Amino acid sequence: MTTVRLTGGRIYDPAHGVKGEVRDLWMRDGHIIAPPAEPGGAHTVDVSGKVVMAGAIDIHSHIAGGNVNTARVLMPEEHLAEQARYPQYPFSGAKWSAFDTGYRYAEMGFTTVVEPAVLPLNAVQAHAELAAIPIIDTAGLAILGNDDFMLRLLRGGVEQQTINDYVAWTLRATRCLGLKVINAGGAAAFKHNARSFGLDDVVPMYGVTSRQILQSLQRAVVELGVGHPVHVHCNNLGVAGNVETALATIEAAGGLPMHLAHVQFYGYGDEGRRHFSSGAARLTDAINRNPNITVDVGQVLFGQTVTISGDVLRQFDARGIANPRKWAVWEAEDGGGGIVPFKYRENNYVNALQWAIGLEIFLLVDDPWRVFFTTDHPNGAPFTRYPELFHLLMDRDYRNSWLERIHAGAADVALLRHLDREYSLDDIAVMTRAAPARLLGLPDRGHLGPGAVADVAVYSEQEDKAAMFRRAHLVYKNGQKVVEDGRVVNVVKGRTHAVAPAFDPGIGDPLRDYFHRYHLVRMENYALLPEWLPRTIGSELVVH
Amino acid sequence: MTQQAMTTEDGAIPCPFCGLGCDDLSLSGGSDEPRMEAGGCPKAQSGFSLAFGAAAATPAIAGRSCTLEEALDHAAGLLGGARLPLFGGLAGDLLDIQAAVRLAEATGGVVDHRNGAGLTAAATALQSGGLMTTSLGDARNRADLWILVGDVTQRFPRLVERLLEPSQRLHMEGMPEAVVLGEPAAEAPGAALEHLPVPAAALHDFIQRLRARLAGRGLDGEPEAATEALVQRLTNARFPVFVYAPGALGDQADLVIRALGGLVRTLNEAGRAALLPLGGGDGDISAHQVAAWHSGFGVGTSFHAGVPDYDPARWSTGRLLASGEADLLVWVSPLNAAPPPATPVPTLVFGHPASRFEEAPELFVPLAVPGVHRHGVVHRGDGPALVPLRALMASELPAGAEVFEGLAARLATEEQS
Repeated sequence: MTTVRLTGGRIYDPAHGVKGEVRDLWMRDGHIIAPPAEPGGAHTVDVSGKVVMAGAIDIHSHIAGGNVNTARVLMPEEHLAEQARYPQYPFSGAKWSAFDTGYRYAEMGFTTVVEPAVLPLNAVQAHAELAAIPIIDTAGLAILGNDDFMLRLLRGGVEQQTINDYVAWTLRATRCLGLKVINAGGAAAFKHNARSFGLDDVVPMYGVTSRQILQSLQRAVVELGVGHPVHVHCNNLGVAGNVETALATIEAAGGLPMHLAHVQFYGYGDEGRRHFSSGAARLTDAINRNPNITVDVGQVLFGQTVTISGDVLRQFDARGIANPRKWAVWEAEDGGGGIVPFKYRENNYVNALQWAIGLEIFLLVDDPWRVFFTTDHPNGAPFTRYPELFHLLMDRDYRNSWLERIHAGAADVALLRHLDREYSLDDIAVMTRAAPARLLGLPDRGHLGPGAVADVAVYSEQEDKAAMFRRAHLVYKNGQKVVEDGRVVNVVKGRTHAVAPAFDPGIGDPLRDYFHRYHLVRMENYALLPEWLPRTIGSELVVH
Repeated sequence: MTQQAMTTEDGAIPCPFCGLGCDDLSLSGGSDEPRMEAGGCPKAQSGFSLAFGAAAATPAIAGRSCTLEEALDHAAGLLGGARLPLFGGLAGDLLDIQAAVRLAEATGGVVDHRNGAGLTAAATALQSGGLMTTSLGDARNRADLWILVGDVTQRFPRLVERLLEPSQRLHMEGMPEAVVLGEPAAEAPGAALEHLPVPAAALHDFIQRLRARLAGRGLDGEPEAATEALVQRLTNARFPVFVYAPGALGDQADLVIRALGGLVRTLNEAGRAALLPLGGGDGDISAHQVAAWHSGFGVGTSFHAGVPDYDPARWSTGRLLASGEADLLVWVSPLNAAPPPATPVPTLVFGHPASRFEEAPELFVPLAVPGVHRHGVVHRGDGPALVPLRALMASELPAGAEVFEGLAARLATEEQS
């Protein structure tokens, strides 16, 4: 393969402390290489004046699986298309399809995206959808914490080692990159007609608390040495006053690594006339004081979207605010999900404050290595609106102009008007490249050092940051040019990343017996063998 | 492509022939002469034995044997010239269907499933208000009252055995109660269950009356004892589940499902209850799901205009063939040997190797049966679960994906030249 040299670009590579220096970047055989001793024959691409970063990484975006797919079917009116984006490429006229997901992420310079909610029972579908997404690399996080087997283990008071074995078995059985916990015990409690569920509530029939479930799963991830810390969707999502839940969860992490997802939805106080206020200051203070904690924001942006979550209890509770007025809730062995369409309105007090709280969290967390860009796609907004979010954070005047437009009461009580911070390109590179790779345990990406995969995004700097990031000037995936002038020019196949921690195979005996007693699936047909996904749905699995 | 057979005698062989997705079967006779052991059901027995005996079928153009290459050349010619090809049947596994949907998009065709009417009724009910559903395994473990709406026991021969009879459940002592709403089939495995006779045409009205009574509303006339008794049982149950096959509910299926959905929403205001819709097999749930992640919409979608156009009434197999709007029928059916719909429209069958025809189609390409001749995967009829399928015998039959990808490559080459 030819050697490619990007010359004249301003490189932002925080992993190597490079902040906008003009350097050449070399690629060969799908990887970044050191400048060769004899560069003869290299293909040189002039990117003078452009901004060069590694391909961006999204750590939390609902892009695959049965819950997402049912949302597509529930909302046909939301994604009617009149024109194909790329008539020469498959399904480019199909908005919100697996294909469109790949095209749209690539246009923005994203090259790796994590689906954060893979129900083990549905893992094959999630993988089939991930395999269908072109261009970008993907990974899934497997959900545990509402599964009867886990709750049974805890009720039986087993050793932590058994939990570890079960977690490792699950990660292998689902071919996922990490572990997700969604309102631990909440879906199981909902099966017994619980309507709310907090960190110290007890799951009926099991006698264990949400806290116990969460802590044992967190510890398993740590002890197994899985790169990505346990990825947590806390209790009480969206409830006024739930900043207390987030603070208690941070405390419960006990100094061990824990990632809290879409914390904007937990940044709520219950003060004021409307009993809904910003808890961002308290939340970010706790985040700043606890270096074991990482968060992504789950920013809200105004407009129509559809919320998709495995938190079946909270989604059922939200049925009354569905807009348009239709919603779906499904349950299954070991979990479930809910789909509630929603329209965030700038002239609505709560929605406007949600918007402000998300931005406050971004601006009040000191360490850009510990706060991540998400809209919890599509829950806060579709991922295609990330560029607007970058603009809001990089441009204080633009942000302040929005404070004049949103609900005046929310604008008054928000801290946002007092926050002057503006994100730099280096901040953006940390939060969308270097830090996510580190958080996910993927050392071969998120940076531009020799040996990294040649996932590279080149942007034309401009005043309008949204325009800058909406359409990358050039994007390379594994060293192949896939985007030019914001348009996809080459559709390559992405890979799916997973971990395979070791475990005591003795866990297989109780599992086999358990499946035999209570499942309609045999254990042998539940766990995915390593060769099976590539042989059937054609995933290109990379095991870390 | 020759597929290596896997072990066959372990009591964990999955069956692709109905929506229950049983995976506890055993075979004997090895991969040379496989036979189904007892313990399956009539559908599994006939499905497996038909496929086992048909591994040597060859392609044919208008009834005359030909090579696979000749068959694909012929198919590419017809597809290339078609104005509106209809990809119907779609009775295959996820891999067959995925490749067929991709070919349909590339050729500006329509995708529909042989159970399209049921899929559309279910989707329409979902889109008009939403539904609360559960899965087979969840219902098996915690439903204490089963309401079987319409014919389900005949469609799913082991439903009673697998769901109502297990002695070990989570958090539940004893056996669940079960009531069949509708006209029972005398020979079906559920014949011994309690029945509440409701004619199909009266089902919607009956469910709406139930809902009204549950909401505490009075009804005109004397209270019906049967309705009142059922209201009482639904109120007392901890987790009543309504199981139905959308395709078995007749012309009013979407209304019946919406009414059931409303009933379940009402029950969930104070307690717990759920719907359990079951796809009818033939890969219908896989077709629905695959179509959705490829196009954003379910089956009943056309790619004719270069963007997906979802309109299940307009793009239904029956209407497109009757009106003559479709000028080529591509019948995809490796799981089901039944003949394609009789139509004057030229028909390409990519089907079960033992496919039966009243009249030889324009083209027949026998495909590997997923779960018999090759590995694969198909959705269970309830949706969230998928069943991995295994090759049980060596076979030279091509996989559907291989054939459709070969066709797509031929068409792409023709376009360039």
